This record gives sequence, structure tokens and C-alpha cells, in this order.
Amino acid sequence: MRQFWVSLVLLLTMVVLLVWNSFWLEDLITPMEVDLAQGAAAAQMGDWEQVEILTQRATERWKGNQRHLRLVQIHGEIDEVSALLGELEGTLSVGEVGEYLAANRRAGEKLDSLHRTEQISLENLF
Amino acid sequence: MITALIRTIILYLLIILGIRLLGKRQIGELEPSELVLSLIIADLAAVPMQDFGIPLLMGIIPILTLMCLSAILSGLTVRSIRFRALLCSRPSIVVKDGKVLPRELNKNRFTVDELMEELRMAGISDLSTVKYAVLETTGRISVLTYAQDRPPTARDMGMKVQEGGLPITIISDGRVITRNLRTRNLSEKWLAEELAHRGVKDARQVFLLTVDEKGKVYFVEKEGVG
Repeated sequence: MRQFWVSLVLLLTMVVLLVWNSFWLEDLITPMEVDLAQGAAAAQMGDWEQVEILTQRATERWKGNQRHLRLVQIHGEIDEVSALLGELEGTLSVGEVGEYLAANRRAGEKLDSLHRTEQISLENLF
Repeated sequence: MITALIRTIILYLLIILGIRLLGKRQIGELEPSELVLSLIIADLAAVPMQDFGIPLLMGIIPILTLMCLSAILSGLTVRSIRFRALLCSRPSIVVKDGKVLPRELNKNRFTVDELMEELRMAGISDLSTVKYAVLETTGRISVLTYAQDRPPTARDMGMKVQEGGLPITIISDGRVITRNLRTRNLSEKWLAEELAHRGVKDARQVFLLTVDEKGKVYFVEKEGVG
């Protein structure tokens, strides 16, 4: 019976850790999505200084959590987000609203996709 | 490529642990849930072994989950007869008093040909000598023949025979297993005397030495020594 209890505890521990991971990812991505949305709004108003601050904040947040991300997410997905954020930063130097908004949307969609994949939902289960 | 090596080692050790947790059963005697576990674990381990883009945790977590579920189910089957019957089904008597029970065979989707094959493998060629044949939950057939058709035992013939003991390994490939020495209440001095008696100076020259409860020693010296 010891094996039974140890297994039960281990299973529950994994459930707790994975639920925590799900919340962690949400805490990482949600502020990024907010920053990107605000950046898009600022770009439409022509406030490029604010756009730069918000974009870099989102990017730095992403870069600062690479180690954890690489432990729990498929590396290809992480690299794709990194590339999209890099592309987004690249549009800052051009200063073209349309380009920035398109890159912003792509990055936002990918982040949202990553976020939704980790949620406990019927969609993901089936 | 070093990543592949390290990942393979980690996952391999994890699978060994899983198989170890299945207990002392051979693959052919696994319950259905255990068989499923074995099949799935191999597949789960292969994916992160080959694809470095997949985090190792994505292989480890499903494997650990399956192992835990298996251990939990095992614990429940030990505790609850109903649950055991639900998970592993119950043994079925397919031959009773020399007569095949077709209803039981059909219920278990077991054909007569399969029954005859299992009986032949058990050394039975004549069905009429079979008192009971039981289809076990592992899919194997256990056969109980009529007493008249069984070889007589010493007890049947009223003979007294000496009981044998259970040999325990004391020396294995030159290494003394001290724990087993203590189990038999023997000392290193006794061991030295036994080796000297057999013309051996050192335990390292011995391939195998076992002792049973009666003190009977089985000794094999290493080849090319002495």
C-alpha cells in the first residue's frame, strides 16, 4: 500500500505543479498581450515612443523567462514567438504603422495560441 | 547528439523503473492494464528521445502519470475484490469434470482450437483426464487433472523423503554477499573453512557458492583459476 500512497501523492503533486504552470504561463502571456494591444493603439495614435516602450517591455518579459519556457513548451513554438517578437521590434525602426500592426497581430495571435494550448478546456481535451 | 545520448539514458532508466514497479511478473502474465502500460510507455519514451524540440518533461510527465495510475490501480485491485473483477475480470472454468463448457468459451472469446493448444502445451492430450481447466485472467490455462491421472507423490506412496532447503547465494562471481551470510547465521570464519576445504584460498576464485537451510553447500569454482 505504500506504493499506492506514494503514487497518489506523486500524481497529485504533478497535477498541482502543472496547474501552477498553466497559471504561470497565463501570468507571463497576459501582460504581454496587454502591452502589445496598447502598443497597437499607441501606433495608431502615432506615439512611437510609447510603442517602443511597450514592445520592448513585452519582448524583455518573454526573453527573461526562456529557461522555464524551454522546460515546459515545445521549442519550436518558443522560437516562433521569439522570431515574431524580433520581427515586431524590427518594424519599430521603420516606423510604418501598417507593418507594425501586422507584426503585432501575428505575435499576439501566436501568444494567444500558446496560452490557449495550456488551458484546461474541452477544446484541448478533445 | 550528446543530447540524444543523455535523453535516452534518462528515459531508459525511467522505463526500467516503471517495469520494476510492475512487480515480479513476466510479460506474458501481465494484467490488461499492465500490458497497456508497457505498450504506451515505450511509445511515449521514443518521442522525446528522437525529437530534441520536445522538452524532456513532455515525455517524463506522461510516463510518470501512467506509472502512478498503474500503481494506484494495483493498490485498488489488492484492496477490493470487486474492483479486481472489474479491471482484470475473473478466472473462468472452461472444462469441468472432463466436459468442455462452450458457454464459458464463447463468453471469453476463446476457441476450442486455442483450448486444445493450451492443453497440449500443458502436456494433456486426453481431455477426459482433465477435471478442471481454468482460463486465468492473464489468458493462460491452468489444468487440474483427475487424481488418478496424476503422477503419484511420495505422500501418496507413503514414503518419507528428506526435505530440501532453499539455497541462498553466498558468493556470486567472486563477491561475498555478507547479508546472505548473516541470513544463514554463518560467519566469515565458516566461509574461509569451507573454501579451504575445497582447496580455494580466496572468495574471488569462486564463481558460485550457495547454502541451504540444511547446510548443504553448492560450489562452483571459476574457470582458469587454480
